[in-house]
Amino acid sequence: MKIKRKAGYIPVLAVMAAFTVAPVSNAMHIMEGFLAPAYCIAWGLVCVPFIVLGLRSISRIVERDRKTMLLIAMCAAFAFVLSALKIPSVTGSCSHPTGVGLGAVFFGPLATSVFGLIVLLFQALLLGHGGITTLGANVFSMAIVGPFVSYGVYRLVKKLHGNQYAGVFLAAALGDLATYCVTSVQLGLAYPSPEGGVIGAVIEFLGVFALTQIPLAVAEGIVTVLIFNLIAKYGADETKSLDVFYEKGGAVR
Amino acid sequence: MNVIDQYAYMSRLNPLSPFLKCLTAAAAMAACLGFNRWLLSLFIIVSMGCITVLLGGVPWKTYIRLLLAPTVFLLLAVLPIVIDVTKTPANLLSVPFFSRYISLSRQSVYMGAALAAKAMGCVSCLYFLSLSTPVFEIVQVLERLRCPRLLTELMLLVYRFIMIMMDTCRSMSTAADARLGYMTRKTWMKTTAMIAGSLFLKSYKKSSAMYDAMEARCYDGRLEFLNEPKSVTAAHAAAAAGYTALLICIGAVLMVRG
Repeated sequence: MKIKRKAGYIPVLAVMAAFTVAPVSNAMHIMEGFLAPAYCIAWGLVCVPFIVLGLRSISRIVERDRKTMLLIAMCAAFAFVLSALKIPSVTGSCSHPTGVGLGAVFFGPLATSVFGLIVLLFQALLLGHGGITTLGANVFSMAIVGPFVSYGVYRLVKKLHGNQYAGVFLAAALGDLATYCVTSVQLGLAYPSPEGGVIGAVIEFLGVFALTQIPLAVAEGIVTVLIFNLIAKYGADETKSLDVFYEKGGAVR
Repeated sequence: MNVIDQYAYMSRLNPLSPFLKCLTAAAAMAACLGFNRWLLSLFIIVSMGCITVLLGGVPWKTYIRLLLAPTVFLLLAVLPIVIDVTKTPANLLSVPFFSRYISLSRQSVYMGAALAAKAMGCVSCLYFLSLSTPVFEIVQVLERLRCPRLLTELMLLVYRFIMIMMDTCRSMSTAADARLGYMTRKTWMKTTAMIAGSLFLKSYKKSSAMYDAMEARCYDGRLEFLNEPKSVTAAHAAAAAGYTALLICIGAVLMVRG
């Protein structure tokens, strides 16, 4: 049950330290006003079906058990507060975990996309991360693609009877990486380079954001595993209804 | 941690109708994005800054610090737009890179600067709204715009939970800090995870307690909040319309002059 902390830590931290100093904050949010109106609207429209499906799935759950509404709201608030916590990322700098991977593992991707929307809106209004016009693009990369990847990875590892913690780590880290790739593609589409076109621009954006996003993904993976470990250890009874833990020690269902 | 909301409640612009403020912010943002002229963007940055600071009463220092929040993203994202890998050297600066050039052309620098100005213009509009309007009122506006009830209700609940959790989180991290929890990177990681984990469990329990409390008060799936309507006065409406008209005029003039 106990995660092998010491063995896992050191090489990972070494890898992280290998990335040179980079100022890191929530660099994954596309800032307010960065996309032309056509892109804002297009990405917003892409998100609509997911949000509608998500709302439908939530209202179906809520009809059965009203308590879940509070649970979902609580998780959204948790993701928000998590994004305000600082975690050490690269030498001398900090970054923030996104918490979306954890949500996807616990609640599934559709519900996560709805609360991701709310979290992103509040991040724009209360923290100045991201924005209103770029909400659609950010929701697509962070609240739709990220959680779907996280959820898929976690289910896959579960199916293959892999280690639960490896599953959580991969889910969170790969979810973040997927978000980072999608963000780069979104920026590349909006600002193709004059010679390299869209693909050239995407590669350039991937290169620049790798500085901040790859260490962030690793750090988020580690933190998510630690949080998951804690919840499995002390909160197995409370979270029994969520049907997440599948190894001995957690709530086996 | 949560300065923006605090200033929104204290702002002298708080008594104004939230609809009017949302509309003004949206119109200014649309003008900034739609006209796409750097002079107009600069004008919006300066004027919105003055409105928020002089009329709203937000301290300069806080405002500047908030404006600087997205700069990291801005710098990283503008870089690939300004710098390009080309086959022929560009007019401003070119560094040979294998068989090609890493180049900086006058047009790309101009484009990057204009983009940065446009983005910052929109950010200042966002801050005008969020530094003068509490979240609760923004949700009311969304409700009026026929946003699904489930979504707006969730938003209000989330907002309430955020406030509670922020408080708990702050005291937990102070306690951890007092016990040298942030000494090294390793303990920092561990502390963060411990705080996050216990925050999750604590809030989980709290949410079920809250459900019981709501159930005891006849919760039937609808949350009702007291809402005090703030009416639009003629002077406020005229000021908003005048400002929007000014932006459109400046934009139109800049468009015509090329």
